[in-house]
Amino acid sequence: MVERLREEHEPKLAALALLEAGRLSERGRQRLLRHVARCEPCREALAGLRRFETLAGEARAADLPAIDWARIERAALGAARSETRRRRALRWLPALAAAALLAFGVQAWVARRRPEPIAQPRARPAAPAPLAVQVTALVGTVHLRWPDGRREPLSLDSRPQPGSTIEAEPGAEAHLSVADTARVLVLGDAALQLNQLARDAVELGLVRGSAVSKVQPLGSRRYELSAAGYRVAVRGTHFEVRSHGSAIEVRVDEGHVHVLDVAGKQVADLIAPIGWTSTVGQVGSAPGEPARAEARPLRTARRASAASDALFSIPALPAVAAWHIDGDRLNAAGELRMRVPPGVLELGAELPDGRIVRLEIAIDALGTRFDPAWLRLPHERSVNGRRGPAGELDLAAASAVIRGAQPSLQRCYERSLRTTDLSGSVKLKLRLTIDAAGKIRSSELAAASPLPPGLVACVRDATRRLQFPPPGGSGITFEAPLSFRTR
Amino acid sequence: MADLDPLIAAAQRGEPRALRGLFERYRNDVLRIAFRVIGPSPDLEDVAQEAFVQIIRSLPSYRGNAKFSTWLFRVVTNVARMHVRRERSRPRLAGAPEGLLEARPDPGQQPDEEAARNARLRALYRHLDALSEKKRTVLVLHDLAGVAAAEVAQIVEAPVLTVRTRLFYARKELYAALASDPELTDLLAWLQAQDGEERGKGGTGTTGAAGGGGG
Repeated sequence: MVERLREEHEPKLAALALLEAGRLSERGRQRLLRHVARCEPCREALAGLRRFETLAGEARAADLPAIDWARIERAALGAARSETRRRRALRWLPALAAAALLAFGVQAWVARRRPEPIAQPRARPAAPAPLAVQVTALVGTVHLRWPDGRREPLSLDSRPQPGSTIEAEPGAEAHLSVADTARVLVLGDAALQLNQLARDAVELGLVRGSAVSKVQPLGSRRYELSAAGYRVAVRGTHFEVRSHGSAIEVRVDEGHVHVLDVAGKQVADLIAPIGWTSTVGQVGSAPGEPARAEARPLRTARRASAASDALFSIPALPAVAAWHIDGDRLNAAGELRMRVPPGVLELGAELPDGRIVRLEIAIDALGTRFDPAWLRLPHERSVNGRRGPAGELDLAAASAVIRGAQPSLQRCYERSLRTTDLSGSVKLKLRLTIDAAGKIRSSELAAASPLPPGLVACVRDATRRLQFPPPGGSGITFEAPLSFRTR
Repeated sequence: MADLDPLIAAAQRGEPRALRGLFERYRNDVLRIAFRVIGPSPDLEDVAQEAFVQIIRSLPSYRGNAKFSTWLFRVVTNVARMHVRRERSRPRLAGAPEGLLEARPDPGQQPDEEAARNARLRALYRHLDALSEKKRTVLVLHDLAGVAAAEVAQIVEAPVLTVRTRLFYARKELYAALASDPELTDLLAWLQAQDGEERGKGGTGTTGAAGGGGG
C-alpha cells in the first residue's frame, strides 16, 4: 500500500502548507494527519516544508549587511554623467553618418577612375608545403632550434619547419600535433629533430631523451622515428622511444612497429603491448610467452586545437604533482600553456600522495589563466584553538620562495649523503605552517622511508627563515613536494 | 503612458538632485532584493552597485507601464541572476579530498549562534542553487522576498499561471532536497535544541502535527 502511494501519490503541498500554518479546520486537520501518517511521500514533503519554513524564516529575518553606500552612490552618479554625455554624442550621430557616407561615395568614385592594373604572369606552382606542426601544449621551458642554428623559446604560436629541433629542458614537456598524422610528446631533457614532414612520410630523429608518439592508421604513409642508429617504423600505433646514448628503449602500447638498424635491416618486430631495448631485447617476457609492456600507461600528447582557441595557462604549483586535462596527464613542474576550445574544461590536480582534486573550468573566448586560489589548501587553526578565517596563499609566489631555498636544501641532502646510505633520489613532503604575516610557524617533513635525523634538522633550519607572501586571516598550512638527487 | 512621479521624471532627465533622491528612496529595496536573490555573498556590494548603474542606464526606457518598484525589481533581479549565472560557471571543487575544501564548523567545538545561522543560510542557498534559474528566481522572489505572484509575473515577464507552476515545482524539488540532506539534520537539531530551551523557559507552544524536522 505504501509502495503504491509512493508511486502514484503526489503530495498536496498547498494542503500541507495550510496544515503547517494552522489554517485548517479541526476536522480537516485530523483528516490530513491521518493521511500523512500512512503516506510516506507526504511525510517527506512535510519534513522538507518544515525545514524550508525554518530556514526561510531565518533568511527573511536576516539583517541586511552594512555596505558602503557612498561608493555605490558615486558609481551610480558617475554612470548617470557618462550616460548623459553618451546621449548628447548620439545627437550628432545622423550628421556623422551622412558625412561618412559622402566620404565613402567620393572614394568609390576616385577608385573607379583608376586604370586597370596590368596582368601579371602566373607564378609557378610551389612545391608541396610541409605538414603543419602545431604546438598544442607546453610545460616549462622548451626551445625551438631552426635549421640555421637560431634558437628561440618555443611558443604555442611557433610553426616548426623540417630541419628544426624541439629541445625540452629537464622537467619540461612539449606536445606537438603533426597535421592529422600523429601526436608527439617530447618529454623533459629531450631533443627531437623534425627531419621530414611530407604528406607521404614523416621522419623524426630523437637526439636525446624520450618521445611518445600516437600515430593514426597510416595507409600508405610512412612514419619513422630514428634514435641511436636505429629506426623505429610504425604502422598505426602508440609508442614511446627513449634514447640512452648508443642504446634505445622502445615501449609499444598499441599497434605494431618494426625496429631497423642503420643498414635498414629489421632487428625487432614489436606488437603491442611490449617493451624492447637494443641491449637486452624484449623486456618482461619469458621465452615462448607473449611479451608484455610495463604496466605504466604511456602518456599521450594533447590533441590539436584551433589556433584561434583561447589560451589557458597554469603557473607551476609545488602542491601539485601533475595535471590531468581531458584524460591527458601533464607535468606540473613548470608553467603550463595550451589552447583550449571554449566550453567546460575538466581539470584534475594530482597531489603528491596520488589524490586527484577535480575542477571544472568554464573557458570563454578570451581564455583563462588558472588562479591557484581555486585550489583551496588545508586551513590552519589560530592560536586559541578556534578556527579563524583562513588566509589565502599566492601559490605561484610561494613556489618561487621554495625554489629560492632549493640550493640550501640540496646542500642538506648532499651533506647527509656523507654520513648515511642514501642513494639515488629522495622524495619528501615539506609541510609548512605560516602565520598571517607569511613567517614560518612550523615545518614538518614526511617521506615514504625513514629519513636521517641530520637531514630533517638541516631542512628545518634551511626553511625557518623563509618569508612567504602574507596570506592574511589566521595563516595557512600547505605542503610542498621536494625531490633531491645526486648531482 | 501614466503620469510619472516628478522625481522619476526628473531623474530620467539626468538631474543630479533627483538621481540622489531616487537612490535614497530605493537603495534598501535594491539591496534587499539583491541579497535575497544571491544570498550571503561577498559580492553583494558589487551586485548592488551594478544594479544601480543598470537602473540609471535603463531609466529612460521606463514608460510607467508598470509600477516603478516592479520595474526596479526587474532590473535588480536580472543583474542578480546574471551574477548567479556567472557564479555557476566558475570552477568548483568536485570530489575534493578532505582538507582541501573551505573551512567547515569544527564538529568538536560548540558553534556560536551567529556561525550556526550562517551555516543554515549557506545550506539553504546551496539547495536553491541546485534549482534551475527560472524556478530559483520565482521561489526566491515569492517565498523569500515576499513579492506577490502577480508582481513576480511582471518581474520575470511571464504569465501568473506560469509563475505558479514554476513555484510549485521549485517547492517540490526544494522540499525533497531539504528533507534528505543529512547536514541539515545536524544544523536544525541544534536549532531545535535551542528552541526547546526557550520553550522550557517561556512555555510557548508551536503549531504542527508531526514532530521533528528530519525527513
